[in-house]
Amino acid sequence: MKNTIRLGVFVVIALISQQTLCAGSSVAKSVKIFKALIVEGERPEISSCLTTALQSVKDSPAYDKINWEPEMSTSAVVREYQVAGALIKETTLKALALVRDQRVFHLDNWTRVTINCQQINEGKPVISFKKDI
Amino acid sequence: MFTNIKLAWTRTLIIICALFAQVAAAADNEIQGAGSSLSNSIMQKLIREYGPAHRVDITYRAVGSGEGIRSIAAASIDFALTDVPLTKYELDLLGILQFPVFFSAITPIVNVPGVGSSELKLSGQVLAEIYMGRINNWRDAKLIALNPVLNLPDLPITVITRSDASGSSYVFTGFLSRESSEWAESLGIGSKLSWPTGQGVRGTDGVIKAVKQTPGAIGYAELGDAISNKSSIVQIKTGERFLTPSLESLNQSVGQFKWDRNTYYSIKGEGYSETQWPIVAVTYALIRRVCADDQDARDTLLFFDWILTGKNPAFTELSMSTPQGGVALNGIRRKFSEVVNSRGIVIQNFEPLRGAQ
Repeated sequence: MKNTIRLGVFVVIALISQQTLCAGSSVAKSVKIFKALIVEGERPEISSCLTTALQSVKDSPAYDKINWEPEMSTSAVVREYQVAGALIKETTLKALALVRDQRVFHLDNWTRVTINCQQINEGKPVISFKKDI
Repeated sequence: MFTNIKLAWTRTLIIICALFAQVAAAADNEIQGAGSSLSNSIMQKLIREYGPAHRVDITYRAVGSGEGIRSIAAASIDFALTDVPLTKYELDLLGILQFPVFFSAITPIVNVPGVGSSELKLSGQVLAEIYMGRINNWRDAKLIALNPVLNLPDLPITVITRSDASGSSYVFTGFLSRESSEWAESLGIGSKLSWPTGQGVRGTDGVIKAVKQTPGAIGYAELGDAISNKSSIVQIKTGERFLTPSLESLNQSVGQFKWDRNTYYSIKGEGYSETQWPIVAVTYALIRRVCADDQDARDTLLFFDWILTGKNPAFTELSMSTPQGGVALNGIRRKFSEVVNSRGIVIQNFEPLRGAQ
């Protein structure tokens, strides 16, 4: 019984540590990507959206990867407005996205998408992907 | 022979004295900044005054806001100035503090033969249409309607834009976005854009020069720079009247600004009344939260504290303004105390200004 409890505690600690490490590495990766974009001279007002979009695509059920189009940076549209006292910064980006395909044998299928990025009250950007029609 | 020896001794003495004088006059420390080009004139004036008196050699390179942010992110400078604010999320990723330092009016500048400075009247909507390439001749019906008493020439409009990542562009396109929903939807706010029309040049100086050299040109620049370069400024429609940019109309706008965000991101008012200039640039300083060198960080903070609390007449001369009032200033000074060294020790404590919270 004691051994079972010990094992349970060990598993919980291991899981928490893993989660913490993963979260840490995700932030570290965001810092790295964001800094790199800024140092490369990317538009500062869209750089956090680019960073978060690159990170978010990994969790997307629809897409595996995104590639920026050549005119993406200067064609990104940034708007700012207030909703119920909250400051919303909204950025729209154009990209090519690789459609997620679980089949073993398949051809890469790239499609045009619009990425909507919302920063509410200066917080972490929230990303959504929409396939262009 | 004796005369030659005497001469040699005199020369040696002069050289030694000159060396001593140089050592005595040399600054104790050097700090470097870069960024916003619209802040260049005021920065050079302030540096000339502060540097020798406080024995700090300060250099400021007007390379544009985007390049300033790039340089502070790369840790190659002690401070950056930017007219493009960063959000809390972005500041945290970079480990940077942000606070406002200057306010300035951005004004359209024109070169319309036969039309003097402050004579041409424009509305935000018409300005957006000019920058979208829809209005492309000075005799366009919409321009004539706004300027019935002027004899506008039959001349194509040459639109001048900034090709570098620019705070002036960010502020100017912010104004166009407020005035034209079409601009907001299709182009938005940007330090660097795919401009629908026009010729891109680098820096505020580049815009002023290009407009001066091109009959029929229109651009945008900081008011103080426009005035000192004798550029023709315009009137903008605010409500039912037309307003000329001035220190007074700038201060009217600044007076209604809200300071409710910890990062000072997007300082602005609820709207602009008839007496408030509607295109206002807020120039922010960016400083690393954890500094690499205690003395450089201390000198940087003391320099900005001197700028903010000194009520320097140079601001009035250049039609610029600084954050006013004890509450605003104490808020910024509290920010200064967040700068620490690698051991977590606060670099410099700033006591609250008397009579303010």
